[in-house]
Amino acid sequence: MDEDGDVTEPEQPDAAAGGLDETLGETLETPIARPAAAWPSCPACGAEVAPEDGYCEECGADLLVRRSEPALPAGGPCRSADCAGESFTDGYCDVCGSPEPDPRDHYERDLGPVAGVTDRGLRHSRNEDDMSLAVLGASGGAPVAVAVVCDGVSTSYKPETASAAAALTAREHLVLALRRGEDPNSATLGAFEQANKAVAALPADPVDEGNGRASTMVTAIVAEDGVTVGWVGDARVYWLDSNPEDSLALTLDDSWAGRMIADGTLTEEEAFKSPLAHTILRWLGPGAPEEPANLRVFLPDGPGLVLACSDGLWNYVPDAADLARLAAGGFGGLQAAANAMASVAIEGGGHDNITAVLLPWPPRRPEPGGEPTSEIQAVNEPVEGNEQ
Amino acid sequence: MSNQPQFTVNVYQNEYLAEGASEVNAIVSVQSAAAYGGAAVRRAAQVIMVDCSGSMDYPPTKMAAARQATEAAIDAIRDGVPFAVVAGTHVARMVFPGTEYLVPADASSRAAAKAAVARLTAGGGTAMGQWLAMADRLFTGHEQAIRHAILLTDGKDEHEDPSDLAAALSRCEGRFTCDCRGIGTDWVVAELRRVSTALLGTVDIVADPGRLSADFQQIIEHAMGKAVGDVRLRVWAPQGAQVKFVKQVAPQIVDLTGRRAPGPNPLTGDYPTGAWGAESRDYQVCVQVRPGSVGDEMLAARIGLVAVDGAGQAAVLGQGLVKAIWSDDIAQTGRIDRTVADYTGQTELADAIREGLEARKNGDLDTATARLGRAVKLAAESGNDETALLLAKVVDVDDPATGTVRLKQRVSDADEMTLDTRSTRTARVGKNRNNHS
Repeated sequence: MDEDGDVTEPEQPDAAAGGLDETLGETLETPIARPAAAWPSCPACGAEVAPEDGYCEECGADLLVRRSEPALPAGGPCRSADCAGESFTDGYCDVCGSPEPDPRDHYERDLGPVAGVTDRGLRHSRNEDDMSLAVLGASGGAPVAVAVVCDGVSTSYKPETASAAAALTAREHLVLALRRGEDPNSATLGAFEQANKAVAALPADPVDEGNGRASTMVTAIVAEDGVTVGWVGDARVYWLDSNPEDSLALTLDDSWAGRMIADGTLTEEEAFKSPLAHTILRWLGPGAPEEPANLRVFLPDGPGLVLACSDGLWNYVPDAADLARLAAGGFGGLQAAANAMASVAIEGGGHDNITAVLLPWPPRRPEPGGEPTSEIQAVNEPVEGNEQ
Repeated sequence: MSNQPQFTVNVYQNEYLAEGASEVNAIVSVQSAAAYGGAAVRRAAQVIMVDCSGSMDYPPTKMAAARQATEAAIDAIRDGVPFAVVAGTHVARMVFPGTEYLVPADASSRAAAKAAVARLTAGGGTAMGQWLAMADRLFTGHEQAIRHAILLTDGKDEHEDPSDLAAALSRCEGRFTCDCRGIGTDWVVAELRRVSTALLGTVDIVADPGRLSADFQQIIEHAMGKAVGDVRLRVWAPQGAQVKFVKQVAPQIVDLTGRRAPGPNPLTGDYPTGAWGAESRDYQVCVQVRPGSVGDEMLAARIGLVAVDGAGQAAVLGQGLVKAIWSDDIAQTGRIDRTVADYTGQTELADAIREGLEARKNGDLDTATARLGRAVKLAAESGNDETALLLAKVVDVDDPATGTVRLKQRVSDADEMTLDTRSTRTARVGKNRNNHS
C-alpha cells in the first residue's frame, strides 16, 4: 500500500501536451491543497486556454470534463520475490509462471472532487473490481462528480474484463448524457443499459458458451442539488454524514441476503449467516434480468461524503456509522481517506478485492490542473486480456 | 501456407487448487479442420509391409486375404504418392518395385504392384526389425513428405533378438508413422503395440481375414488425409515444476511421457504426435508445481502445438494455457472437471484390463478377477459400452455396479486379444462444462 496522504500528482502545465502516460499514476508527497493556478494549457493540443473556457478554441477539446484513466500497463520485473524473470508471455512470467505485474492490483485516482482506490486484496489472484471517475466542471458553478464502481462476478468468465468494460462504458455514458443536459435519473438508467450491452458484447467463454461475463455496478452522481445512485448487484453506496450516526446505506443489495432483509424474512445478522448470503440476484451481462437498474435520489441536509464501494470493503465494515467514522469526513485528503478504508479491509484479511471511492457533498470545486481531460477512449477498445 | 489446416486448442481443467496442493491436471483438446482441397496438398509417401512367413498359409485364407487387402490398399493410394510393397519374413524383400526405392502411384505402377502382390507366397520366418529397417531406408530422401507405413503380421517376432526390434524401432522413431494389424491369433498384442506406440500409429486385431481389405483401404485413406507432417506438443512448465506425464487419451491412450525431446529452451520439451489430417485428439497433461498460498496464481503449463518441417523449422499451430490458482473456497477447489475425471477413469480402465489379462495369462486368477472386475465397474460407470461388451466375453458379470465378476472358463484367443488391443481406445468425453454455479 502507498502511504496515506499520497495523492496523484497534479498535471504539470508543461507536461500536459503529449506526456500524459509518463506522469499519470505517479504519486508524490504533495499536500492536498493545490496551487490555485489558472488553467494551464489545453491537454489535447497544448494551446493556451482560459479557466472559463468550456472548450479549447484551437482543437475543440472539452476542458471541463476530467476523467480518471483506466489502469495503465505496469511493466517491470516478475512480482514473485524469488524469481529473476523479466519477460512475459500470455500475461505470465516466462521463468516461474507468475502472473505479469498487473496495474489493476492496486491503483488510485484522484480528480479532486472524487477520489478512489481499488486493490486486489490478499486472497484473490487478480483484481476483478474496477472503478471509473469523472468530474464535470461548470464554469463558475459547482461541479458534478461521477463515480462508477464495478465488481466482476467471480464465477463468470474473465470477470476482470466485465468490470473494466462496464465501468468505462457507464462513466462515458454518464459524462456525455450529463453534458447533454439529461437529468441524472435518465443518465443513470442509460448508463446501466449501455454497460449491460458492453458486457454482453464481450465474447463468452469459448469452452462454455453458456458462461458469459458478468459484473455488478454502482453509480453515483454527486451534484449540488442532490445525489443520484444507481445499482445492480451487491456493491454499495453509503451516505457518510458529518454526524456519523446519521449515516446510511443508499443501496439495497441485489443479493439473497439483501432480499431476505428487505422482505423482513430475516434480520441482517441471520441473513448473512447463510451460505447463500452473497448470491447475486442481479448483474450486468448475458442472462441478467431485464429490469431497469435500481435508482435512488438523496438530498443530504448537511455536509458529508458519498462512498461507493465493493463488497470487499463493506464485508469488513458494513455499518454506515462505522464507515463514516473511518472516513473522518475526508479531512486529511479524500484519497487518503479512501486508502485508509481499503487498508482496514486488507488488514482485516483482504478476502476479496476492495474498491472505495469517496465524493464529498456539497461537491468540491475541481482544482485547476488536476488530471487532464482525456479523449473518450477505451469504450470501443478491447478490454480483453490475452485472448489467444 | 494456405493449405495448413486450422487447429483449435482447448484446455479443460479445474484451475483452482487447495492451499498446499501441487498437482495440476488438464485435458488439452486439439481439433484440426480440413482447410485443404483433396489433391496432393502435402506430399505423402507410403510403404506396405506384408507378413509372408510360412504360417500365413495356415489357414491359406490368411495369405489370400493379405494379398487382396494389399491390392485394395494400393488402389487407395493417391496419384503421385511414392509407394512400395515389402514382403516380410526372417528378412525383408522388395515386392514392388524390385529394387529399394519408392515409385509414384499411377495406373501402370498400381497395376504392376498388384501383379507382383498376386504372386506373393508364404514361406520363412518373422523378423519385423528387418522389415522396419527396409521401410526406413525406402523413406530416405522423402523427408519432406508425410511418411506412413502399414505393417501386417500373423505371428510372433521370433527370428531375431528382441533387442534387434528395439534397435530398429529407436532408429525409426520420428522417421515415419506405422499402423499395425495382427491377423489370426498367433501374434503378440504387447509386441505389436510396442511397434505402433513407438511409431505413433494404431494397432488392431483382424480376426476375420475377410475384413482386412476394407481395413487396409481405410488406413490408406486416413493416411492420405494427413495434411501436416511432424506435429509436436511443445510443453512449457515453470522453473521448479515437473511434467509428470503427457498422454494422448483420445481416440486411444498413448503415453508420450518418455518421448520428450528438448525444446527451444530448458523449460520446454517436445512430445511427438505424428501427422494430422482433419481429426481431433485429446491429451492429458499432469504437472507438479511448487505449491502456492491462497490467492496465488501460476501458469502451470503452456501447451503449444507446433509443426516442424523437413528443415527443422517450427510453425506454431495453436496453444492452450494450463493454470493453477490457489483458493480457500471449497466451491472452487472442490469442483471436479468432468473431462479430466472421465479420461482419468478411462486410463484406469485400460490399465485394469491390461493388468487383468496379464494376471490371467500368468495364472494369478485372484488378481485377474479383481482387475477385470474393476474394469467392468469403470466401463459401466463411464458408459464405455464397447469395452463393456468386450469384457463380457472374458468374464461373467454378476454386478457391473460393484464389479463383481467371475473369470470365464473358456475364452477364445480372438476375444481376449480383441479386448487387449482395443482396451486403449477411449470413448470421447463430452466437453460441456457442467460445474458452474
